[in-house]
Amino acid sequence: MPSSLPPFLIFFIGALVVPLLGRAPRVRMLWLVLIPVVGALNAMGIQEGYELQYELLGYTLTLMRADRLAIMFGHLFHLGAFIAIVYSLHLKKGDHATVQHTSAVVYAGSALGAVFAGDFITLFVFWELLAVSSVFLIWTRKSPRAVSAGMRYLLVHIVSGVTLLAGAMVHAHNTGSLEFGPMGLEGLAGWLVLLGFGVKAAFPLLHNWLIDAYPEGTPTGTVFLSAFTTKVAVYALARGYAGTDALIYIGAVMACFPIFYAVIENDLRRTLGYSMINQIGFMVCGIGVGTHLAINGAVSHAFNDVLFKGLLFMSMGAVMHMTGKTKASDLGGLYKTMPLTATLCIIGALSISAVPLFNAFVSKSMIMSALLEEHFNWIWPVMLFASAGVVEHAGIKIPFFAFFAHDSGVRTREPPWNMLVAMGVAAFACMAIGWRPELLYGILPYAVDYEPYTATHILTQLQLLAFAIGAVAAFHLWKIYPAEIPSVNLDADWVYRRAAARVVRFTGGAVGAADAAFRTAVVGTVRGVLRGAFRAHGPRGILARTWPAGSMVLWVSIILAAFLLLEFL
Amino acid sequence: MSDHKPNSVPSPWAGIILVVFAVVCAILVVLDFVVDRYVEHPLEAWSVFYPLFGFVGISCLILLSKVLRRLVMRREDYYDAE
Repeated sequence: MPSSLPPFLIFFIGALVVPLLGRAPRVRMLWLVLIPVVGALNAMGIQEGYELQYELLGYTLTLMRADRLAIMFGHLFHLGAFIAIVYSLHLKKGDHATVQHTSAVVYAGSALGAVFAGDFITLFVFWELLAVSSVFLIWTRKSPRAVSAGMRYLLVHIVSGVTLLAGAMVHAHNTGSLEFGPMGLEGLAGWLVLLGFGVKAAFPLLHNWLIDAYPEGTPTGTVFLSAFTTKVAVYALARGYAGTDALIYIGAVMACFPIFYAVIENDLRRTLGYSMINQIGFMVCGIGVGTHLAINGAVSHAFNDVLFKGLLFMSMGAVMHMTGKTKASDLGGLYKTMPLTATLCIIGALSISAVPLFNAFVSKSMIMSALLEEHFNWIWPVMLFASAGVVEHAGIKIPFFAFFAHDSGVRTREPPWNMLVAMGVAAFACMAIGWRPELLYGILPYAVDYEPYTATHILTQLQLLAFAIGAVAAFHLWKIYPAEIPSVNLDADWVYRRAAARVVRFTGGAVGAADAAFRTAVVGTVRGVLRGAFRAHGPRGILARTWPAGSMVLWVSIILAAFLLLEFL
Repeated sequence: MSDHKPNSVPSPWAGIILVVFAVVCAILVVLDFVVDRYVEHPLEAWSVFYPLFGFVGISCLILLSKVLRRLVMRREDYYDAE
């Protein structure tokens, strides 16, 4: 007897029923909340070591593999799905509620399917389902920008899946096995699979789908998006590439470059997108270090990120829902009319900034300590800089420009109750893990022997944060802090959104001109031939004239005489 | 530009918050000499390393971001134009 159902199944069955409840919104609300609750109860019964396998074309595939890493992400995704579903309960018909709810539940189920998948084929199927189901959370915003961004998002993720599949095929050819386990960078398969994972994890230069699509999603859809896709990639990297040195350096770049963009970005949800890449950088770096402490730090930071980044996205989604605005240049002073939302946003900001007693203080410290334990003395200051940078953009910029700063004159009220409840649950979880880290320690993949609350650690972290905040305050007072300007900042996506478009346009123009010249030349030649033929064979052509029979006899005689002459010569 | 809009937090409160914050920063610097903190990285051995790193790091971040803005900032409809 199986210990539990495969977790994705509960979500998929739940999603099938959602469209049938369109005319009964209250029943639908109850049903939607029940899906992650029943799922979580089911997940609690999953026994470590349980595997559910099936045969396909001679290969043994593993639909469900329950080890500590998968089970931890399973718990995380149930919690993330619960918070995001509660946050979106207010959706009405005009918000395309049925489409949004259904796709969101399928999306959450796909994330669960991916982390429990024990082989590459099953992983690939859920990998692609993640993309296909989540794109509706962008498209349902209906704006032309959202439609274009959604299309780019879909294309990038389909390519990621195909790359993963190509790597899996090479791996199966080399090893005869499709099992998804530790890969490393040996051979083509390892690189291809890493590239597939890297796209979803928003590796540098592959990251723009996130910056492009997340701010274009619906206010509720972006909360779902922030919880699942990148965390599935982090899970996949933790399973396949733990201890791969390259990830340390990739993670360091990811942690650092987005914070520069985050300072100058005007759209606060896009700022959170850059912030998300920065946080994933810490996770990727931890996975690269690969020790038990580092892996525990990386996956617990993923767990915490779903909570605090979800909370920040939810607070900005609430602002967007109530005011229709998310740009720093249009906002400010909202604490007067949205005090609860402002408070919850500040809790998210304190959490992501790794202030003691909030959750990131615990998880980020594990990664930083692991770097020092393994003597990565050059990477540690880089990550410390990235850590201070978080305070600037997520700790201060997001709450400051939305709720304080200059009074924009926008007057509104608090968002619907369900949004506040969802934000409250996330805020509570951020603080609970900060106060009692053992709540998280109990579900981590490896045994934990780590104490974050030492006098040295608390003091040094507070010093770092306080003086980082001091620098921001000083730059504001000196009026040299970058102003909020309605603008767009060029990033790596310029290559395919502008440069490639120009190349295609230029190439198309050149090819078109050459094609036109060739066609003209051919048509001219054909016309010349036709004209010549017409001259000879037309009504007045020499070959079309009616010649008398005598002249034909004359010419035949001349030809015969010529033959005769030749014969005698 | 938002520079022409009034501050949302009234001046007296903003002033009090800044003074309290400055006092907290001063206490944290004093504590650096009081607490016998352990050192794992050579840089941590410096006195007031963390306050210096936080302030200088963020100052560099902001100044370099201003340079980056000059290079990459475009009109809001940049991608919509074509």
